[in-house]
Amino acid sequence: MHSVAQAHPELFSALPDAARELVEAAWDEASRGLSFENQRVLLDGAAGLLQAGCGIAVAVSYLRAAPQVLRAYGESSLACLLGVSVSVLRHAGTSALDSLFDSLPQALGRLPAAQQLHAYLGIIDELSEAAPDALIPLFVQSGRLLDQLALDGLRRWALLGVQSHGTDPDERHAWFRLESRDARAILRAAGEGVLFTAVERRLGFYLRALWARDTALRPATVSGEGRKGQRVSIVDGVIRMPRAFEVFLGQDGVALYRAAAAHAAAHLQFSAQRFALRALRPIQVALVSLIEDARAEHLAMREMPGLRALWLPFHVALPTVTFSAVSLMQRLSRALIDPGYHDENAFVARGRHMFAQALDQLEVPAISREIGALLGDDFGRMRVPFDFRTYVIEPLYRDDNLHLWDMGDAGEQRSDDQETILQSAKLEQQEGGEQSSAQTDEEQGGPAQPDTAQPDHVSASEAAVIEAALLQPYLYDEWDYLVGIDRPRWCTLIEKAAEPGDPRVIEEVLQRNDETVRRLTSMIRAVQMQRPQRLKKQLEGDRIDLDACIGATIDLRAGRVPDPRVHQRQGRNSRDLAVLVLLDLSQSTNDWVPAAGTTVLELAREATALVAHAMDDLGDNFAVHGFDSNGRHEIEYYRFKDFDQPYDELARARLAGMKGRLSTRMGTALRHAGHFLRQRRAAQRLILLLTDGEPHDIDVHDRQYLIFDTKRAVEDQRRHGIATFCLSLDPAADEYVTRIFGARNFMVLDHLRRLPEKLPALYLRLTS
Amino acid sequence: MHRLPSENSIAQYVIDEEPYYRATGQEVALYEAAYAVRMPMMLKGPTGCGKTRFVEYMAWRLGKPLVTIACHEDMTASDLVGRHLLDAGGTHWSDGPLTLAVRYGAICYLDEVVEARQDTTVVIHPLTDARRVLPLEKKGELVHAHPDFQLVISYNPGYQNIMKDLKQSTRQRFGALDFDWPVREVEIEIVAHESGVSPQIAGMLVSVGEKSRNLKGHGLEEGMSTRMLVYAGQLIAGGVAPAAACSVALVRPLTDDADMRDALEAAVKAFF
Repeated sequence: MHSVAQAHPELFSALPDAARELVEAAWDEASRGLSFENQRVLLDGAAGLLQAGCGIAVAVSYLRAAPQVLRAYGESSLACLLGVSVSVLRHAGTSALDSLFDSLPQALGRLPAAQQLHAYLGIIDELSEAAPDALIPLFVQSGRLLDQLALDGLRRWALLGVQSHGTDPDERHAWFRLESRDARAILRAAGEGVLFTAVERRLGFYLRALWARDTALRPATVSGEGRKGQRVSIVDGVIRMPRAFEVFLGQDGVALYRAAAAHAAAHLQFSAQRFALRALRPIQVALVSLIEDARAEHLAMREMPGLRALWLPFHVALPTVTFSAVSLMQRLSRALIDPGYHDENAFVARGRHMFAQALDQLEVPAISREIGALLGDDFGRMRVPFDFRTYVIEPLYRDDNLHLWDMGDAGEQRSDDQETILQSAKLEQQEGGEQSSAQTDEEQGGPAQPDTAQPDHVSASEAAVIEAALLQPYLYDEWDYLVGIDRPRWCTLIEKAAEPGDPRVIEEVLQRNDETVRRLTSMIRAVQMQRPQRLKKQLEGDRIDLDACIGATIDLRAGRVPDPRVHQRQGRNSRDLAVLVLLDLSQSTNDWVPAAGTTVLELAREATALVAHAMDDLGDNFAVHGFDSNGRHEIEYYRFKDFDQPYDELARARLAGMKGRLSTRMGTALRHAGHFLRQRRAAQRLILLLTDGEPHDIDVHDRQYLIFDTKRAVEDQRRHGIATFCLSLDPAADEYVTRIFGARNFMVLDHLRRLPEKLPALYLRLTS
Repeated sequence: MHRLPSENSIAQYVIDEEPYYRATGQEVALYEAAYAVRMPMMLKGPTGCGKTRFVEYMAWRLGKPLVTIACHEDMTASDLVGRHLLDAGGTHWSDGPLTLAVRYGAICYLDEVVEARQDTTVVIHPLTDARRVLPLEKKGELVHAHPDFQLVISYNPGYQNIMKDLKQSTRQRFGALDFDWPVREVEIEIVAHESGVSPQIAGMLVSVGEKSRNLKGHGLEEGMSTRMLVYAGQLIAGGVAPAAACSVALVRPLTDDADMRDALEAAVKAFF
């Protein structure tokens, strides 16, 4: 074995003086089993890091961790590691980088394939920008995290931490150090339990089916952290569910969510009246709530007996020697719902007896208050200590019951205890208030417009009408993939009048591309030839097929059995379609394309001119629209040519006048395009989207957010029978377009220069 | 050579046994009054709520033959009125079911009439006003309706499709009866009678049905029909466990949406 100075003299001598000694000391260990070439790469990497300013100590950590990467995954993975290392160094500093190298061995053991390592490094890269301070705790926990989460789960978990605590570094640290209850619950749920977002939709159906009412279900606010155990709460008729339920005793998380939802809905149905807090002691408040829980459940079970089987598994209290307030209340809860449960305790028996007595007047909420108050007196005589501050309602599926109490009339007699109750309730309501503005209404899909008047297809002469109509903003929902809801009326789309340019530009395009136009024309003819005009030899039809009749008559004369197919009828026009060409007009379309000697926008314009020419020639019904965006409040939408509007001078002038500016909020534009197509009655409806990059906007920093929203928008259109096809000019598009549009519904054009001929050809292929 | 079908061919359309029908309101009396003046009738209501059974029952009650035509998208006018057929001896005319009913005085029932294309349904227009005639253009014959003839159509107004609706010119020729899910007690009685389960089981089935109808327009196009409940009841009566019967007869036919199925199965569990 040569020393490092002998083996790689040039690279070695390039190292800073101070580093040489330490590198030399670490080299033997590091270079073992590496090829000469790999050794060079390793050393080169160290030099690069030193140059970036990582410091000698970190370089030594690198030399300890990196060889394993080289041996197990190869050179490209080391390159990836180095890239991410520089990013970590830049955003989070040397100690974070040191921590990365330190933790790498335990992470590597859990990432068997190079691809997984790359994904893991990708998450680190993403986090180093979004939340550099979270990196060290993440590295410290990396072994445990990777044990419990798949990589995409880890990513979601990490991003949720960043998003939820964007402003509070302390809470964020708690999250990544796994000190936060939410962080642990979500971690655990990802492994074995269930997240609220995964069951939200089916719970919605479930509650609507059972109770025939709109029940708003929302995830709990994350700041509910650190208070009493995670429970469902009901604020202003909205059921707030924990984001993840810890798994319970062999019950799956879905069952727990369902039990919780059914219980909360029973409250909404039967606990309409609030109880006055007045002179009740805390233990009485707790017991009145408990009886009210039982009352609501009994009323629900009266109608739907199967609900008992849903709730019962969560009641696991047993008569034990431990004699605490909480266990007594759990036993009472169980005694009230479980007829087969035996408990000798006098308090439990008395509660059971009183409830049984009241069974025939369950509809009266006052019985809960009455029984609860009496039981509270009993409780007081038993001298069992009870602390409302630490009291958590059991079993797990029951909500916190704060909604049962009217906090307003406690008046001056308010005791300290009542103050406690009041405080927790206030906190609750505050949280509810924050998000109540985010309540969605049920209407989805269509644009929400402040006014009922819809700008219809207007002729060019009605300029004033256009102006008025165009200024009407449209409001669209936007999908938040992290939270799993549509943010209601989130995006404002404004239709703007397209400024006309010189229509001769478009004619010149056609002249310049006369070769392409000729080819297109022959393709169009071929498509038209395929159009069936008359279907002959039909068993039935609206006319006689003369040829077939003659044949049949001959058969008859000859004494043969004739072919009965003697009719003909008009075949349906197979080109019954409506196409909307949607152009991305963002700033990036002004980029120069060296190979073509022009800009992306010019190429898009040429392509659009050619495809419009083709569609017009075919007699297809089509529209050409475009969009750009400037944050969610300003998505600009241009209609260059509408359906039913001739492709004339004006339309061509508008095409000639289009400009590229601002950003690309694709989802909203797609929804608006879909809004127009939905009004078309065609057998096939298609949005042909032409874009040069992924969706982005100035007010969105999470790259995935708009991608997921666009995907959602595409799915929405599909549900309405509208197909979306994307022609992307971004060579790196493969990574996201498949996800957005589906495997077959996109095409990535590598040679921009060829766009003008590709687009019309693609169109013909798609539609014939 | 013309071979006219004999009057006997209409005899096969006569209903001999009384079909089970449980009246839910005044529909029997109203229909009888409408038949007395041969008013064309339109039965509106969701699928599986008893429209077809009602027509069968009324035909039996009035002692008239009933010609039922299930309409579909590819149905042409010739499918209704008839066509020339070829055989070794030449051509002969064959009456369609509508013509048959018109000639020999049957009740003609066009089931789910919106499924047929609108240009097909206009052939019924001359039959549904004072003329009461059916022109057979291809044959050059004008058939005057038999005094007993009556036209009845049915359709489901909840069907969400802008393309499939009745034209005003068609719908204004009919008197209409609205059908909906029977009230709870009646539906229980129907399910119990038709399937043979106990009223208690029938009650639970009806509850499940009611729950599913809450989801109409919120993920479901249509709730569970009485007919589906009867099917589920028949399975239960045949010894199938209630939860499995509901799954087979109620939940799975209704939707392919996994979340929706899960929610419906859970709703079933709230009763069984």
